[in-house]
Amino acid sequence: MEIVKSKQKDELVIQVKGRLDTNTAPELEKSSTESIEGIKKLTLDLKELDYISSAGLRVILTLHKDMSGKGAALVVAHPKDEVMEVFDMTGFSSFLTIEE
Amino acid sequence: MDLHAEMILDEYRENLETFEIIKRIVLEQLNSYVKNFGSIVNSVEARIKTEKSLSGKLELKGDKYQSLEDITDIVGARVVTFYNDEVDKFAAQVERSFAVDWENSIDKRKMYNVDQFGYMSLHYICRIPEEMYKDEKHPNVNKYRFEIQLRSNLQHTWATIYHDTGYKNDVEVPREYLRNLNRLAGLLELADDKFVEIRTSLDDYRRRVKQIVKSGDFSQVELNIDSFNAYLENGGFDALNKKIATINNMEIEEISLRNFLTVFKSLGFQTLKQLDDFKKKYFDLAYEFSIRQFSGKDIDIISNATGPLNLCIVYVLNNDMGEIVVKRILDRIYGERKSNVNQAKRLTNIGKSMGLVKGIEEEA
Repeated sequence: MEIVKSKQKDELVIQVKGRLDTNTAPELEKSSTESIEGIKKLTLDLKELDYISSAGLRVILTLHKDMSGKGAALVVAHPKDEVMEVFDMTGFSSFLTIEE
Repeated sequence: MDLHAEMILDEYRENLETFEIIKRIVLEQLNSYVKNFGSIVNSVEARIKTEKSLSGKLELKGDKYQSLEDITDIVGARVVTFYNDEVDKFAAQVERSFAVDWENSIDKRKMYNVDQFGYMSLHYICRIPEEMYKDEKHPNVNKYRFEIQLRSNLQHTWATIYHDTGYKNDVEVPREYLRNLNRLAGLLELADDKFVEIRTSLDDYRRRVKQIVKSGDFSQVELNIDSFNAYLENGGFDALNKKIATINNMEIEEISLRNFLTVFKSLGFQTLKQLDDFKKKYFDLAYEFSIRQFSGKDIDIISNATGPLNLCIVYVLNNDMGEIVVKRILDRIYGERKSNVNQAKRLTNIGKSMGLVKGIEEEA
């Protein structure tokens, strides 16, 4: 998995590439939690994410709760069909803000 | 301005810090009522009369006041409630907390004859009691009086518009306009009472619905947001979600299922009994559908939306409503997205593999 971060004022974009699974999810969690202080909008750009497992879903859920708790926004952007399918079947699409 | 008025103004300037303290304490107290008693208020505000405004008052009726202590509205606070019965609840708190000067306080709601209508507000003149605040550096905090006005939203609207006419009292207002203003005051008084009536009957309705749903008798319960919430509180789709969760030993994340009400309504369910019968009838199919979704997948977390969503999907497919209705359901739950077309196709294919889709296929 590869993580690329770009920040503009109080908006942070994290591009996640490859596979987000048990092995890689802790890296995304660590990388994002240390960067979201003071951030009003966090975008997870998933256009190059090929696979997501439960471990990845849990990191996204944690980020969603953290951001909501601070009155900030989490946006999940450009997920591929395979990843979108996982969001839909687990019901995560019901509460996540997803930009196609 | 005469010497007497100048002396009162000097006293005002010397005590500005005192008035700031009074204003702060009054605001803190009023806001604590809102917080502690869950009162529904539109606004809580306080101000200190400006020097310009005080000068104007002294020029008009300076003879009336011996000293600054006689002017009771240097600090003024106002609470505007949504409902007129909240005014009395607030009043009880004011009376308990502050030292009320009863001689100068007035309940304008009670001063009219049965055939009169007009300004309706409750005005208290108070002091800060020593039990609430005592500081030798600021002894005048307990000396100067202040005013608290309590009124409902509609009473406030009327008073604001009356004030905007520029007239200070009824004597100044031309008769024709005064009659119209008072007619409106009567109408708003009626509307105020009606709002309380509506809120009270809604509270009763919600209590009744909760009890009926808890008892399990859904036959006569209309499907609406109150009955739906009560249904969810009583376990709604929990059993189905728990059964689905056994597929991969999954964890269930609780989210709001509010969006599903419009879906169930769109499927034609009008009563809670219809919804409950639907759930019981399609329970096993929804579970089987979920097995086909999750088996062999590395997924051990779902949200509680999974159960009701799969119920809707199997219902639609089993009743030959087709892929296009599956997409409409996804549109209602997730919002309209391009990917809903593919997802509807995928879900329909699962339904086909279960033998659910029998009729003519529709294009999504």
